[in-house]
Amino acid sequence: MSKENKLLSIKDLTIHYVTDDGTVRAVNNVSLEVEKGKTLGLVGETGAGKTTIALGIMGMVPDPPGKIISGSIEMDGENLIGKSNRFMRHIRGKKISMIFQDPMTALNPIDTIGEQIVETILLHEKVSKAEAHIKAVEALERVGISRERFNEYPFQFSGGMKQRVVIAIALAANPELIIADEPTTALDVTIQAQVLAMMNKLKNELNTSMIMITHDLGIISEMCDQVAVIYAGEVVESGNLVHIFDEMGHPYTKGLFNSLPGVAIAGHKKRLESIPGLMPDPTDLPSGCKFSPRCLDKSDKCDEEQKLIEVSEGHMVRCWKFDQGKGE
Amino acid sequence: MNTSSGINNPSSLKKVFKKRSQSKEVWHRLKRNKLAVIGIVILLLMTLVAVFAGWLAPEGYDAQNIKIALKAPGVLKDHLFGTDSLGRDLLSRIIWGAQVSLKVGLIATSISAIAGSILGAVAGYFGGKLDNIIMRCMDVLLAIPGILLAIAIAATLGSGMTNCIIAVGISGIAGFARIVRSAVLSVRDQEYIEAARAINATNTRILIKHIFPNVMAPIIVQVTLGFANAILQAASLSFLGLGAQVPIPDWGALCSAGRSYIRDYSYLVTMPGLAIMITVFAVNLFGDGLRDALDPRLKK
Amino acid sequence: MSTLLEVKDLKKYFHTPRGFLHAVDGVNFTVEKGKTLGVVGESGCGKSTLGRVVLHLLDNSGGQIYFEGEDITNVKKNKLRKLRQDMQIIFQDPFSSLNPRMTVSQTIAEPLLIKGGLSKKEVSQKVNEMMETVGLAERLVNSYPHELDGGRRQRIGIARALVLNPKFIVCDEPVSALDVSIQAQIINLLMDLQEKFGLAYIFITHDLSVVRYISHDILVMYLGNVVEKTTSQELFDHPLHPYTKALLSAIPEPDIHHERKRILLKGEISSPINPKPGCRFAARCPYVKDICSKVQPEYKEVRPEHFVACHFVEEINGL
Repeated sequence: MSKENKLLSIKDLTIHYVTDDGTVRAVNNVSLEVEKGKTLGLVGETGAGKTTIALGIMGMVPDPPGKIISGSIEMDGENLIGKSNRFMRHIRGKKISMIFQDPMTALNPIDTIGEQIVETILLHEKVSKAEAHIKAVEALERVGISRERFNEYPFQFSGGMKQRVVIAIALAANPELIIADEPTTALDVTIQAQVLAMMNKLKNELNTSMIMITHDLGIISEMCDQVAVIYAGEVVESGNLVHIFDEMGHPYTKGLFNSLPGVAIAGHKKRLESIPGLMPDPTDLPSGCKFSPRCLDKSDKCDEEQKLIEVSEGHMVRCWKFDQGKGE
Repeated sequence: MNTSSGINNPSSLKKVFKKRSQSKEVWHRLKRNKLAVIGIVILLLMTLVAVFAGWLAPEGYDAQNIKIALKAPGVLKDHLFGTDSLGRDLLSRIIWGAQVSLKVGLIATSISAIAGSILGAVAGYFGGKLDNIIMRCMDVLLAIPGILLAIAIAATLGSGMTNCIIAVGISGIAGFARIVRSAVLSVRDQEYIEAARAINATNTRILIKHIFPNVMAPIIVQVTLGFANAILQAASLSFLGLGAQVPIPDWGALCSAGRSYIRDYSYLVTMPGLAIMITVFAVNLFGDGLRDALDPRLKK
Repeated sequence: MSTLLEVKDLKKYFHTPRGFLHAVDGVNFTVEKGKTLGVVGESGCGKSTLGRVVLHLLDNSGGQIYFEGEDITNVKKNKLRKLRQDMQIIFQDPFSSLNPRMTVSQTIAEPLLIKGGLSKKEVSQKVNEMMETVGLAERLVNSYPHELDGGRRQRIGIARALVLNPKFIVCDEPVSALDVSIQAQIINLLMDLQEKFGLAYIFITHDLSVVRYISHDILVMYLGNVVEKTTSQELFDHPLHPYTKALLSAIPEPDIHHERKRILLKGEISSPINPKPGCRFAARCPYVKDICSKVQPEYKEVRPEHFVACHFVEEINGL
């Protein structure tokens, strides 16, 4: 991956929330990269820290109680961490846009959807109101909503349509990167298929990069080029689709796949192999490998802090078992 | 077979699941609110004063001594707050008055709370015609300004502390009914209520075991705030001559008695007035703090 | 007789200001002892309403319900109390389906206390037994729901449903709100319980891979109607109704080698209020013809034990 192709480069990002009940170590030394025009999938369960990473990129980590302890987020040669609010406001919407999970609350109920798209355009581009209106109509049709609905209000749209509007707003100022946080979780399956197909089409048309946050491995396989598996605020495995789906290494990744009923049926298994236990409390993370309390293959070496090991080119796994030939 | 109970749960889980029952959690949050703590302390002091009035008050509330009438505070050694027109020690009158006013506040608020909660819960839970009838009656009560209502009832029943208590109690019912009804409405459609029906619980059981415990928060808050209001209303009624009769030293009555002397002996009004103000202020601080502590949204 | 529950032409309509909402509109199915009937569909299909009507948590608007051969459609209160011991429900949301002011043991004990007739000791024993059966550690006995995670809360709900030894349980999206790894734990638990106690389930879900895994028979619903019903294996091997085909093709599969042929439906799910005559799926069906918007398709057996409601099911599938 050459430097020219890198759009976003996150290095050793650590974000903590300081609360009365202890420090929540939400994100711990996460390093990720997004290539231009490609999609990075962040897969993990609730509480893994994926949304916090997204908020960190957008400069939207609530402070207090959140604090970015260390790390850098580089985009176009600039480190986004530590930049002023004014700078970040300029970035948001213009360079990086975010799509949240719940379309019901993402739209302002008292403005028409047309107005909301126009507002975004005017905020980020130096155009006249009339020009913004034209661009807004284009944005709307691009997501498959007819221009006749320009002056309708959010309550007149169904969940799937609202999410399309949200996507239209996110794309309105032609950002270089879109962060989509579980964008279709709240939608019905057939509607989800429509929305994902639309997102794929737009991504290809506009060559937008994307970070797709989801817990659904099926969506990952359809939408993403690179994948990072997040557990307890860390990247435990990363690579391209072949690495993750065919050559998965980390026990957690394996466990996730084995928990899926679809996979069990395909493998003719009689029982779902669930991962025992729960994700650790982020205010009291175990030392050493954070997954070890639940790992079926645990040994003494797991008590040490684990590093990411390159299993094959571009495929990283955070587990000492893959450290071959480095001398015992 | 791997179920989560079979695996040694990391000690981290034990720590998170601190066995703090919800009341302890609320108390913990309340303690952190400095203003609420001030309110609680003042109220506790007031209560102690009221309970131990007999020991604390230098004199009885009716000990007259015309010779030392109308002495300003501090002039006479034994009379810190001065004396009134009949030579009665004002400090003693105010201490005894604490007993009267707090008693009125407590009983009247209890009447409002119990009657209002039952009516509100029934209206909210059963809905339909019953809801309509009850709430329209409440609307009628609410349409009349509280103090006027109390006056009207007291005037009908006659003067005296007992009737004062009843009047203040009744005028507070509608407020409770409204609050409890909306709290019940929000709880009624929760799935655990449906679950209770699925296991054959009767409506009574659902109301008592499932609905009430979960609407206690707004009731408790309203009790504290209603308490303050009750004291004020009783004081107003007594001020108007409809409540405490001579020589009962209800704080409002004290203000009333001092009215004619307000120009030259203003302490006769300001001292009992201060007593009312401090008590109501303390109750409000406590009530606000309690409401914040009970608000689940403030949980991190 | 192995049929535990039989439902004929069941209807449930809601009265709304805009007209009648046809939540469940003429549904037929049976549930066999010890087996699972999966019910799948998207928003507005009526699957959750169906579960509640069968349990009499909602009144029905027509049709018949038979339990162990007996007509329980309009059963009286006393009979209903007895019936409730045999038919229970597990809810979707492990957060709102538990009383936040009751401890784990109080929640599990309540059905026993309502039924009555047991000493304190017996109740306590049964509660401990239940907790062990569903995999809740003993030390959680006095815990409150807010102290526990979704998976544990759902286990409490399961224990509460089991404690009266029911014959059949309506599972209303019991794992949809849970993380993937916890889902697997709970699905395993439900299947173990079915085997151990011979329970029958109506398993309501929108997740097709879960329903395939856990069900013996599957009902596909769309806007209050059953569009297809057959065994789990047959449904996935030979889906016949256009909606079922689209639904199956819409699932994102975690398989990078399988080239998906997606059937994308146009438009949105129509409103269940005052539905137009004819097939409810007509507005979105890729095979729609004139007759579809006029005449309700017949629900008939097209292959052995495979029922479909579509005018052109033979033509579309080359049967």
